[in-house]
Amino acid sequence: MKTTALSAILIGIVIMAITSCNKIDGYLDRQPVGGLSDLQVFSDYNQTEKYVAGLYARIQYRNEWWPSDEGDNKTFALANASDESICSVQYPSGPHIFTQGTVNASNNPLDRWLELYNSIRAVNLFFQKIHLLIPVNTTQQNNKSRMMGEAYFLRAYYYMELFKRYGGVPLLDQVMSVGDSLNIPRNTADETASFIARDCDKAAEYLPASYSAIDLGRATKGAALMLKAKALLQNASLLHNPEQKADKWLAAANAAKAVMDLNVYEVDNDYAGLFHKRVAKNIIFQSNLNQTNWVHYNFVPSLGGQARVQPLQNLVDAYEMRATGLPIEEDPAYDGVNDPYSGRDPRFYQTIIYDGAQFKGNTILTYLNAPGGNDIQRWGGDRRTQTGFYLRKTVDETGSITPNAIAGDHFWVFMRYEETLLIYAEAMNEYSASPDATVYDAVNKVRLRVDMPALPEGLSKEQMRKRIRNERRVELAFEGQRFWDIRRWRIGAETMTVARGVIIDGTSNPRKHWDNVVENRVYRPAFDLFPIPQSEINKSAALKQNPDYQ
Amino acid sequence: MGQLLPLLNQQKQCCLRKLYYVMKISVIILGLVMVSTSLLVAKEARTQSLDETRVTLALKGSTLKAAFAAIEQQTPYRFMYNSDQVNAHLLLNYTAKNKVLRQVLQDLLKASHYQFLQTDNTLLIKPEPEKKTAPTIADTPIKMADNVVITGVVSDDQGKPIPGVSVLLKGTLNGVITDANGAFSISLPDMKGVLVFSMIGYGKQEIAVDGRLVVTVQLKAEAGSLGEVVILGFGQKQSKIAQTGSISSVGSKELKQSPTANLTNALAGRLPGLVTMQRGGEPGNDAAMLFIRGRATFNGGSPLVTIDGIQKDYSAITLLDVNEIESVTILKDASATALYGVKGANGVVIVTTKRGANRKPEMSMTVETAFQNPVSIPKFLDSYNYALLANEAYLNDNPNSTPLYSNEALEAYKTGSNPLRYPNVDWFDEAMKTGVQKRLNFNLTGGSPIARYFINVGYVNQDGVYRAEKNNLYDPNANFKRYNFRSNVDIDFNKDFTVGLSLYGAIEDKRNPNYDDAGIFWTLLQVPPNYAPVKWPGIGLYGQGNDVLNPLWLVNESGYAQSFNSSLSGMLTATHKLDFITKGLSVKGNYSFDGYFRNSLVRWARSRTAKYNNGYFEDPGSYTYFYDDLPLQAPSSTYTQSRDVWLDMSLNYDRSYGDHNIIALLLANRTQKVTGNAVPYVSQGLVGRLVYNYKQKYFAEINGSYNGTDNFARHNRYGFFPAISAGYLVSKEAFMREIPAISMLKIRGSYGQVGSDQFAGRRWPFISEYNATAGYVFGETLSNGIGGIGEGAMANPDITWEVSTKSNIGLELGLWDNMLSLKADYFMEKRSNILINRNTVPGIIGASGSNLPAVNWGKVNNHGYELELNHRNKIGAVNYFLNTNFTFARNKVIFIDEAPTAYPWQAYTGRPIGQQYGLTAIGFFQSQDDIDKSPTQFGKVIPGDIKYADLNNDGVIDNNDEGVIGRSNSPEIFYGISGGINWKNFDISFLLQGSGISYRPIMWTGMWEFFQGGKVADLHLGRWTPETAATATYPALHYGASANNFRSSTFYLDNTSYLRLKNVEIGYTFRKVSLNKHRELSSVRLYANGVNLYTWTRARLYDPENYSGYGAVYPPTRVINFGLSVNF
Repeated sequence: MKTTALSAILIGIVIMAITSCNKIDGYLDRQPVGGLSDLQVFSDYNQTEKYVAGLYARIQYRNEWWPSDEGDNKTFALANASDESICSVQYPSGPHIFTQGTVNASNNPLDRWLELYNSIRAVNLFFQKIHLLIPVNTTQQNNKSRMMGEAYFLRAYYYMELFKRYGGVPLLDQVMSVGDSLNIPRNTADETASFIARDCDKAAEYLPASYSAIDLGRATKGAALMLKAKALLQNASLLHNPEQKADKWLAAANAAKAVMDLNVYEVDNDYAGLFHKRVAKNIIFQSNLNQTNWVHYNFVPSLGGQARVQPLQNLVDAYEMRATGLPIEEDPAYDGVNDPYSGRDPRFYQTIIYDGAQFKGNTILTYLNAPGGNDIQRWGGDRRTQTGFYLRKTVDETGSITPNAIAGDHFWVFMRYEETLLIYAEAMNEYSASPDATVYDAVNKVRLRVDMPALPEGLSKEQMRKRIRNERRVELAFEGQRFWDIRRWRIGAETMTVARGVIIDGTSNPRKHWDNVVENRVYRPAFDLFPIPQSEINKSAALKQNPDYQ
Repeated sequence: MGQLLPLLNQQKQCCLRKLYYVMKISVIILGLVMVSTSLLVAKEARTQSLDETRVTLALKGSTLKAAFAAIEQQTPYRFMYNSDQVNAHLLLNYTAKNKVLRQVLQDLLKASHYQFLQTDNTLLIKPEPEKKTAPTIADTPIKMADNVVITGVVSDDQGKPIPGVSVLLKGTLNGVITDANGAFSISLPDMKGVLVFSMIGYGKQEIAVDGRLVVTVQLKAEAGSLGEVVILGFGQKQSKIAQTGSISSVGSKELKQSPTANLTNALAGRLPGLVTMQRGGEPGNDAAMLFIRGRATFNGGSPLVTIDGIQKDYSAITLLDVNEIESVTILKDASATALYGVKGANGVVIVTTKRGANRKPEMSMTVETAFQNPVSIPKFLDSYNYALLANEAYLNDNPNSTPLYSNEALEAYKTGSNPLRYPNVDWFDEAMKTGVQKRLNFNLTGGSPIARYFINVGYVNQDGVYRAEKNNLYDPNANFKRYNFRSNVDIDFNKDFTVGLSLYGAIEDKRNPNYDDAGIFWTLLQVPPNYAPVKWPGIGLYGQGNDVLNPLWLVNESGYAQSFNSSLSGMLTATHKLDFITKGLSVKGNYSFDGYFRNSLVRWARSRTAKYNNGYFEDPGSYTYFYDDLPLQAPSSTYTQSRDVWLDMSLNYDRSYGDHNIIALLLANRTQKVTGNAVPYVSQGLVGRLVYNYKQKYFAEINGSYNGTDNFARHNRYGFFPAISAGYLVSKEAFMREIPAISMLKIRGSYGQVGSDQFAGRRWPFISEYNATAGYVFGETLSNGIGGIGEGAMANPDITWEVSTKSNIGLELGLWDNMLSLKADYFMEKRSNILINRNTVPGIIGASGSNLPAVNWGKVNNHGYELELNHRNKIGAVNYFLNTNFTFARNKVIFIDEAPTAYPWQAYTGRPIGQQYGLTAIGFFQSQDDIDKSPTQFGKVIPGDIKYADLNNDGVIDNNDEGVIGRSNSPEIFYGISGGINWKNFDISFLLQGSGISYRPIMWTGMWEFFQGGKVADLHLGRWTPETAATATYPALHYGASANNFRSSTFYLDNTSYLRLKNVEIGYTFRKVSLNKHRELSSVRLYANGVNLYTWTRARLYDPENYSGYGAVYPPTRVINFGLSVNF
């Protein structure tokens, strides 16, 4: 009985399995789910806000300003690839790729072509889908408008990052698919700058001038206008304006003026507090991400840090004498051998740790064979200073590594009002035959707030250009600006020749300071623009490489 | 039941009702048989012979059947007969009082012309042979009268009768062939002589008659012999001679010779066509990667693993105890794997576990202790030589500076006069010890005709090789324990219905320092000998130096991690013969589940380290301290679990019509895999197989499967994968008999398609989706965090499976009675439809790499051959064998949607999977002049640095000069040579295993001198200096960084070919060891064996199987093992 029944059941199952195919096939219906559909995202207000938060997150995708262990780009910092500093160690794909001239189309640790186009696609997708969002109340209506402005701002931001790197790039304002023809040539620099400027103008229409505390960190009208000024300044600079067309400079000056005319921002005399606070009247656009590893990477070794950014004598020499406002080579009071660190621009003391400086209650010694601690110069050694200097600016002195790890506050500042003033000054000076009062006024606002004397009257356009460039270098040191300024001014061949440090003889009293070459550098004019990645050139016949890369 | 069948035929109109009766009666009858037999089994005792056993019977008008029943009650014997041949209802009258059983039987059967044959406790009743029809191998009629008739049964080592065995009186043409029940009856002139039993595929046996009337014989299908039964897909078996596909198999005896905890490491070199690569030796995490016939896809080349016919998770194979394994078979060509359809393209590994057989219980116990040491530890220099080279390197980089180490320091390092201030620590020596591994096994197997069983309990306890110190809170020593349990039981409910239940469980406990092996070995490779002492004796803290961490501090003071894995598996198998429908038909079902549960916990701890400044070593003020004392922290734990379910139902048909033999299978199966946080993975399919042979000479097979998985969109779910194959046993032809040297010759070939639904990455590439991404935090107090969401991967609704088109030609040759046998296979595989990412879409689309819709465009070709040459012989009392196998498999990427490269040497298309790339080193710069005249290289170049070839002749060495160097990272040649000798009770065997044509880049810590504060090894002594310019084997040294030398190039490319003495075993077996008068042990075996005993290779620093060339890996271990096994 049992066996009969069993046999019948077994056979029955087999027959069922073979015959009733429709039911059988249903077994494989697994309701594929991997996430949301576009409708689910963009027809939902909260999901759309998340989408926009995701667009902001792309700003942070990789930070060239902060040395880190991320990927292969160990210890990379834009400062280390410029004439501001040198890196403590030489890992593959470190900043020495730039300083030793080995950048090429297949090897560029700072290449962000793919990542930036990904971000641009994300914004374009927002524009393509945002019509799906139907606000149900005025708050949502206002916020939808804000999101539109943020999207325009962010697209402009990502194109600006491309513009700085590669010059004119293919301008896409819609979502492309695999089937579309993607063999698209590059737009010109002018077209790229105008595209950015247009997006910034649209963003400014949508965006408020400021936010309540809960939304601090979002793009504002001021940020959009400032970004426009930066793009137009970039396009007016020698790199993209070899004929020095005045109207380009005027456009840049006007864009900066528009920010000044908002009357929202003011200079801030707390130079040391920059990067360590979130509310200040000079901040235009700031990262909300606290870089908690900055202490670890940049503290002096005697306090457990790795000192991956080691300032160069090249930069130290740029700090003027405070009493006279004169460059060191013009001020007879400067004694570079016996007493180089007295009476300098106050920003020097807030930017650089030098031999004998105080840091966290310790006297930091960097002279040759200094006793005790790690801070003895030892050439070629890991993490100790090769230059005789350590970085203070951007590093929160309240942080610590041992005995207790305290990360401190490190919020990167993308744009601040002092830069607005310097953009205005630079553009206006270049536009004019000789600097007018507005130029002096802009630069002096920056100087006076840190107790530096005003610029002397009667400077020529060229003299003023020199002072403005030096002011930019000093004021914005280690803020990721110099690397790009070198390129747009096309001054790499002069400034990127040799990286200098100091050797200090501690046996004499006072100690003697001697210049010391820490790296012979290679810079070719081609480096003013990045190469487009070779892999992209291979894929697209219409994409033309920047000059002198192959 | 047989005699009832005619009744059934007469009344077909009510056959269902009759079927019911038939079944009912057979249930009752067979139920009785089962009960009586189980009683008999229960009183299993020492068997008395027929002549010693006495019975008392008083039968009047009784049946033969009742007589048998009465005898069965009084003796341990039981009767078997075919009711078609023996009428058990024959009436008889008979009395016997305490009469010898043999006589009783002869009396009972004499009248009815039946005879009996004895096998152990079984008495087979059958008609007396009709003498004229007794088959003979010679045409000469044999005179039967006056001769002695010897009877007997021939069975295999599983106790199953073998039909068709030739039984020949040695030296004559007098011979017979066994019948369907394995029984024979041969007429001999006297009671002397030797009977020769032979059968293709089984070892020949000669047995002296020696006055016996009944001779029972067990023939062994020896591993490697052609008569072996091979296991095919879905639990099907086939005699190897009938095999037309390409398969290889290894038995438990060989596997047991490798005392490794992980089965995959015992497979190396044993199976032609199988490539194994063991990357690491961490206890519990030392599985080898397996590739069958190399690789032919970019999407993981792992073969499918099945255990007892059931598809398993790939990791399941690593959980098995070698003692529970009957055999491991690999299926290689399309014919063998087509049954696996959409899963079989990478080949199939079939593990069969042991099952019971109809024979008396055998119990076996094994105890083993092994000693393990890492196979290859690089030889590093001591402090003195380190400091010398450091000075040299430093001066190379900074020509005008003072050396790093003063003469005073050098002297101190040399003499060891001040080991605290000038330490000289051999860190590997300090951190490594011999690990002990213990293994215990107990298993029991046996059965009656009704129930058969195999039970196994195994235990492995493997220590790590870190020299860790147990402290009062925890033990940071690495340790791995595994407990295995198995019970395989098969029960015949009646002669038609069999049920099997296989239960399996494994528990793993793993403990290691709370710092991963990669980190510990990286640190060990890096930390210089003069870093610091291991511990400061004065203050008892671990030493701290520059740049690197103290590896012993990491091992001992970082806490510990534990993981607890359990896996549980159960399989129910039911088979029912459907002979009442048509003879040879049966239905079979399997239901199986596997559960995996993994728990792990981590407990952090840390202690202070001290770095010496100056002063007295006993004075705590002389040190700077690092880190905090962090007591052992509360555990943080994680767990995962998954469950696999398998269900199949099959109809099997196996029947012969004269010379036509047919086997057929139709199987339907379903799988379900449930893992955490995912919709269950499912698949289902139909499998068909039709095997035909004519006269066991011409063979043909059709295999096919129709499979569906949920990985693909509805319209693409199902695929059909067919294969055909054929074989021709040439040696069966009459004309071949004239070449006596050739005992076997077979040619075979196969062609077919198999699929693969394996691909990395997304579960459902046929749909697009928006996923969670990084978000952003707004607000002055960072209180307004918003999680991000963004576009995910794009969809390709046409995603489908990979297709592998395979063809195979094979030749099998046996010479001189198979004393020498050769097997050769040539195979070709074209893999198409490989799922790849688009590589030619410009990046401005804004979706790169894996976010672009994947397409089934990839193509790879793979081809190669396998050779197997086996020799076995017996000279006097010495048996010996020598087996070799050789595999060559070479693949080539045909299409991978590669954008045109700037230079041909950069292309991947046309190269093997895993191709290495780098610069071509053409020697060392001999002088500054040489440098000046050569193309610009990288950074500051000094004489002695590596000089590279300028492939594009542009005067600059850069990425454009990086091209293909060497070949792939997985070997194209793989071979094994095994041999052994048996002499009386003594045996010795060995296995040499090797691989060839594979390359690895070797770089970073360990290889690059002083890299990141690291140390230097012996090989750096061969550095270039102006004095040694002519003989240098290593470039000029740099202190920690060299933009020019430290990059991928042929100089830092290792040829990882190797030859390894993989295995040696020496053993001695004592047979029939008496414990007392009544008990004896059937055998006691003492043995010693070892794994990875010696390696010949040119690969530098690390074990050649470490294909990454990156030393931060727990190395494989050399194992020396001592064992004792006892069989009861």
